[in-house]
Order: sequence, then C-alpha cells, then structure tokens
Amino acid sequence: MTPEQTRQAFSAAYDGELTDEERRAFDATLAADAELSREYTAFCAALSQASAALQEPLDAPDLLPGVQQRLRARSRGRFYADKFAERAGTGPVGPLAVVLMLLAVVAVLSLFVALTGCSTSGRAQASQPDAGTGGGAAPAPAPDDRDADGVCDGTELLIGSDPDTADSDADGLPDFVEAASGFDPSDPDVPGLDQLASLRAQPNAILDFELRATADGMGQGHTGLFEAYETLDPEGLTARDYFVSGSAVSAEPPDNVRDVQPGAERFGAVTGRTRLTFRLRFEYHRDAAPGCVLGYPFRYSLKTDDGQRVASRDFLLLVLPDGASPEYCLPLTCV
Amino acid sequence: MVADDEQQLVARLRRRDEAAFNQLVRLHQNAVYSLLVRMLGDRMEAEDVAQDVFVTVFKAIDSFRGDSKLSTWIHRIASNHARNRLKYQGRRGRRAQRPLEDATQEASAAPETGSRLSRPDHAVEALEAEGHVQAALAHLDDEQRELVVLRDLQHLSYEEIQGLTGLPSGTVKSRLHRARLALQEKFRQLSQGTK
Repeated sequence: MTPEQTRQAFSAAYDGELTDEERRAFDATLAADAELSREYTAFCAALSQASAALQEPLDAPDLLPGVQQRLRARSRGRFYADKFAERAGTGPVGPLAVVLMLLAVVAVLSLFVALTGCSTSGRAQASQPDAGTGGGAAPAPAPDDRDADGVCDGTELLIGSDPDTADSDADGLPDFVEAASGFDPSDPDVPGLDQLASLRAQPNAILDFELRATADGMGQGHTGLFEAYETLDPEGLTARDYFVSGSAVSAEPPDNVRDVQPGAERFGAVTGRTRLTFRLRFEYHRDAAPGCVLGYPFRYSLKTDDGQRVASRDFLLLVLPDGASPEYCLPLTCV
Repeated sequence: MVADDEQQLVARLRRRDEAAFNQLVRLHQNAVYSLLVRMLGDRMEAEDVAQDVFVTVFKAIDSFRGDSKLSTWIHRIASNHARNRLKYQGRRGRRAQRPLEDATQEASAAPETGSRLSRPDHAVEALEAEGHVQAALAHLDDEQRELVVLRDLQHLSYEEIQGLTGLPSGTVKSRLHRARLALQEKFRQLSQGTK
C-alpha cells in the first residue's frame, strides 16, 4: 500500500471493514512509517470523540401530542378520538377539545359572517345551504360555493382547498375557519390541537391557556408578546378584546433562567435550550352569547431584550356558546 | 427492553392499542429525535419529521417482521423519512437562511478554551464536544452528514449503508472517509476557535 492508499483506508480500518489481506498490508505500511502511524492514531482519537459526542441523546420535545393529532386527523377520528387529555401542555380545556374541533368550524366563520346571520340560529349551513329559516338568520351561501363552506369555489382553487369539501383536510375545521385565521385549509396538521384555545361564552367565564416556547438562550431575558390579528367580526372584535393578561409561569430546566417575572411575561437571563411556559388569561365579559362558534386568531411571540423576535406561533381562540352542538358561524356570502 | 417485552409490545401495537403506542413513542422519541436532528441539522424540521416517523410506525407495524430489533426498524424508518425530507428540500431549494438553532449552536460552540481531544472526560467538556460535533455536522453536505450518522450514530455496517443509500460498496467507503475527514477538520477548527 502506498501512503495515500493507506490514508484512504483509515476509515475502513477504523471500522474493521478491511479484508484480512487489506488489513495485513495496512498494518505493514503503518509499521514502516511512523508519521503515517501517528496520523492514523490521531484520526482514530478524533473519530472516537466525535462518535462519543454523537451518542449523546438530545432531549426531544414531547412528540406524543403531535403524533396523536396527526393520527386522529389522518384516521378521520378512528384513533385517538378521545385522547386529548394526553396532550402536552394544558392548552384549551381538555374535555372541551373534541367539542372545540367541531365548534371551531363554526366559530371563525361567524367572524366573517355578520353575527346577524348566525347568532340567533346558531347554525352554519355547511351542510344545509338553504336552511335559512328559524329566526330568518341563517346565512345563505353564494351560488358559487358548491360545498357551502363560506369559501367561494374560485377562492378554493386559488388557495388549494377542495371546492367540493367543506373541510378539505378533514381536521374538523372548515376551510373558511382556517383560511380566515391564516391556517392552511389543506394541511390536516394545522392548526394543532395545542393551538386551539376555547372560551365558554358565559358571563365572566375564564380561560387560562398555557403555551410553551423553546428558547436557545445566550443570557438575555425573554419576554412573551401577545398580538391579536384583525378579524372579520362585524363588531370589530379581536382576540385582544377577550385577552386579560399574560404571565410567565415556569422554565424547564429551571436553572437555565435567573428569575421568572410572572406579570411582566418575562424570564430573566435565559441560558441554553430552555422550554418556557406562559399562561394567557381570557375572559368572556359580554352579556349575550353568540349562537355559533366564533374564532379569533392571535399570535404569541418570544422576544429577547434587544427586541429580536426569536420565536412565534399562531393560535385560534374559539368562543363557544352553550348548547349541545353549536356550529361554526359562516359568512352570509362566500369570499 | 427484553425480547419478550418487545414481542408483547409489538403484539399490542398490531392490535392498534393506543396505550401501547403512547408507550412506544415515549420510549423512542429521544433517540428518533436525536437521529433526525443529526441528519437534518434543524430541530424544528426534526420535530416535524419525528412525528411523521411515529405515524408511519403506527400504520406499518404489521410489516415489522421481527428479524431485527424494534428500535432498529424504527431508526430505519426515521432514516428514510430524513432522506425524503432532504430530497424534498433539495427540490425546493435549501433554506436561504440557516436555521436559528444552527446559528445559536455555532455561536455557543465558539470555543472559549483551547482544549482539544485528549483531556480527561469532564461534563463541561463533553457538552462542548457535543456542540462542536453538531456544528461540524451542520457544515457537511447532506450526503456526507447522512453517511456519518448512519455509521457513527446508528452503527450500520457498510453493507447496510450500501443497501439503504443505493451506493456501491467502494463509494460508501470513499465517501464516508471523505465525510469523516471533513467532519474532523471542522471539529478541529471549532475546537481551536478558528471557524
């Protein structure tokens, strides 16, 4: 073996993948060349350390909630239909989650709709396009909305959803709700269940919604920031109108932060990969309840002390009227 | 997990026992996630792909024949998912911007000491080495990173790597060697603070 051939064989020799004959030639070359031998020793040492470092397992975020959500969506509810309690975090109220998924459809739609359309009947007409009776309030979808989901056929083609299916990705949220909230109506994985916050439409009802963000801290403080998106609510309401306060709750591992400042939504001096938990409080402070589910998208971001936004995620606040099976509010005419 | 336990778990999985599947995810999520972070170089991508890996495991458990350990089978699925994701990214053009995490890791990996390979084991040093290796991995191209991970993390034989990647045996040898040299060089630079 020439020295260069020997160098090329370093990896295979290290892995024990040389044939007996190759190994003998390899060893003989090293024995005759001290410099090459030192090179091989250094190569092995470096590789050993790199391999050892690679073996260090990383702490995964809790994958189970996301996996369950995907299985539930892709099996159309056959699996994990009632396992929302397994979710990580304490997002929307657990038992309400199933209802939420049903209600969420109606909710955002109603934002779009004039409340006059659905508030009295509480009915969206995703399945009953001509159901405009009872209080005369049910909105009638436009003629070019074949699936009566509030999104016009032309719009559905543009955004990639199915004009013949009110819930194109079968995730429980109608296309209108997702599109109006900034989520992809063709992706069953968004919004995830942990992105849905549900608030009962009862006077003084409170929702404490916990969310988590991961920071790769370099010693700076990290502060949470709540922002409400504009909506099509006829009264001009946004998630901000229900938002009471945000607070910093805990860090994991706790020693990665210098202090927790609940009221300021801030974690001081975050160092290393740290999972930060915030709690957002929403309150329903109105007297009247809507007849169908309303949805209000909002964003929560993580900012460092120098004002840099290092993470953000969108959520959907669902305001749920009482009733056995309230539906999502739909627009009076498709959009 | 002993073989009997694994067989029982697989039997429950085949019955689509959700509790068993929860157990499986929690048992393997760190290993799968670690593998994917190494291969993809991006924690968010890794989290997303890891969830799909377990969905595939759930759906495909009937095809697990038991001629390897369950963990090996799951890792193989994870590798395939990672390869597909890399191909997909390749078709769409890789991210113009490096993910924040990489930047953070590289920054944190900037050496403050000149320590290298031969000092005694120490927790801090181990963490430092871990950061350096991950940062060095991020500088390899996708194929090189994959070969290093398959061999040095998953400990697949050359023959298995050949089967998985479709590369001829000699090509696996030579490319793995080049990948390791590149890794070693980058690792050395990071350790010496000369990025």
